[in-house]
Amino acid sequence: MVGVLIKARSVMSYGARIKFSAHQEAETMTSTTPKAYLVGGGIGSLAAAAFLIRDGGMPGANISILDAGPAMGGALDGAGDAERGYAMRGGRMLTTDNYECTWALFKSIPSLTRTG
Amino acid sequence: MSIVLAHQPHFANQPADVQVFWGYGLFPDRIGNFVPKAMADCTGAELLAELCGHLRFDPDTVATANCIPCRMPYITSQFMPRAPGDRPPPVPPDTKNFAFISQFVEIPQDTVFTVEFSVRAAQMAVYQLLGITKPIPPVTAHDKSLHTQFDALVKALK
Repeated sequence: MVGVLIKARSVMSYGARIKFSAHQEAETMTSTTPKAYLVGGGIGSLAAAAFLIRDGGMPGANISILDAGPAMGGALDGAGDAERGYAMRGGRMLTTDNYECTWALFKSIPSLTRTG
Repeated sequence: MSIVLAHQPHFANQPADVQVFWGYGLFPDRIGNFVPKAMADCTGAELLAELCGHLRFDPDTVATANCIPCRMPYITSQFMPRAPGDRPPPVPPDTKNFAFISQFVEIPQDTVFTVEFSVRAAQMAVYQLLGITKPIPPVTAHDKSLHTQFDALVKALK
């Protein structure tokens, strides 16, 4: 099985449809190695990778996340310092309890301050 | 102009005596009420001056503030009017090996422009492609809650 995930934003915004060649299987039917290619490194792709690993049992090494920029996170970026100021594209606004899927996922992932 | 004052600190390296907030305007070509320039032509200082005008704040309030102007021309594209079929479901019918994730898919009941929408689309796509049968948390029907319906009633009678 080949899991190919295409992020819609890039496809629609830039009009360039990225083509994927399906993973070619070798001689035997039983040695299928699922792989996933995620276009764009935003929260959608990062979440998909986490679900592939946590619930799909896919090894992380079989997952590729492609992004034009140097940093993962997409609009959930944010950087700066007190001298020059800070900038980010996406406000976090994660204070609500209504993010059912998001919090269920986040609770299972260790952070710098919580063991997950 | 709209502003959001989030819980502080917002950045890991943010000193205790520094506070940050962000704000935006949906019509960057319009001339300001307090600064006679289009928002898109304003410096950070001018944006703060316009904001202080709206909030009736003394300009000294932001004397030590540093405002970084940013443009996000596509940010409202997620809210563009659309008809059924304009945006695909995460996994289009009969699709076995690819999916669409993030904001430009259709998910019944859920709301674009949220992190939740991106995560839910990813979960739907992965579960469907891999045949995972674990339940996906349903979207809470906040529009059906008594609180929301009462608010709607009050608003309707005003």
